[in-house]
Amino acid sequence: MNEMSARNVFYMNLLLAVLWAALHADLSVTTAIIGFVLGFLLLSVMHRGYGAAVLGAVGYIFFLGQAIILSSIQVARYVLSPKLRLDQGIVAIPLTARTDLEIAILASSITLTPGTISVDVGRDAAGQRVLYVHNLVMGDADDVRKTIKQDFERRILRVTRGGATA
Amino acid sequence: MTTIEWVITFFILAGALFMLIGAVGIVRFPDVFARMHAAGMATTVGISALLLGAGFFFSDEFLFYRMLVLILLIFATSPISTTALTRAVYHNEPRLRKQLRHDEMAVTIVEEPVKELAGSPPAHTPAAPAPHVAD
Repeated sequence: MNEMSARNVFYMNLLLAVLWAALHADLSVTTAIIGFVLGFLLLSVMHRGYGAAVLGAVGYIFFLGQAIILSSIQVARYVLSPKLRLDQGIVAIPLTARTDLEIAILASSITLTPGTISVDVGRDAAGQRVLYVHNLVMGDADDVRKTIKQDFERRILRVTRGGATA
Repeated sequence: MTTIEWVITFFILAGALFMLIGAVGIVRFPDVFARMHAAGMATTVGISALLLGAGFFFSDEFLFYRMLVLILLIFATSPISTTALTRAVYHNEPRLRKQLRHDEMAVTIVEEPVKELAGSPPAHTPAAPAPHVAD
């Protein structure tokens, strides 16, 4: 079981959920979700790292929701403040994320969070892959880099790489 | 009012409020970049709060999950258009990108010759394709 990738185990989990729902007389989404949770409990015991990855993904969804709500309240405050004090700027964020999936999730999460928009992916002078992020109210560029790398990128990598890079 | 009615009221009012604030932001903010933030906030936060309110209102299991799927689809697609629009503005509006206080993306710009003013005879050489060094 451990030689299977976490992604294949996830497909097996979905299959178990469908099976569980199909065995019930009344077909409903809630039944499928219960089946998924039961399958998850079983598979997380059998496969090392799968449980942590799925819990990390669920935790990331909650983290993203919280970040979106908090920063949309912040942007609403900027919109409604009597005198606009915008401080726009584009920051280059060096990427630890490598694969297309990781970069796509990171860029989408940043754009979903009000106040930051990812504009482009490119390479800096040293050949390091960077993500260009536009900020509505920027403050210090290094603070922006640190926040995005620690809050968003670290959590995504924990899910996609199974905690290999902390 | 029952508890569920308070929940529905909260979500619908919050959604409408964020849509309104997004609209106010589009009017008040000075340039395209800032307006993109206001518009993006209205389409994600505003619409998902409205959809959640609708999902609770109809108290139907399948309808509620359908609302969750709709929110997921909006969250998957809306950032793509925001990013594409912002990048198009950045590459095609030198006046706007020079207003930014801090711009670490300027290294990707290949300087073009100054464009002709409107009304002047067409340029001798055709315009170079937009520089774009993303990999």
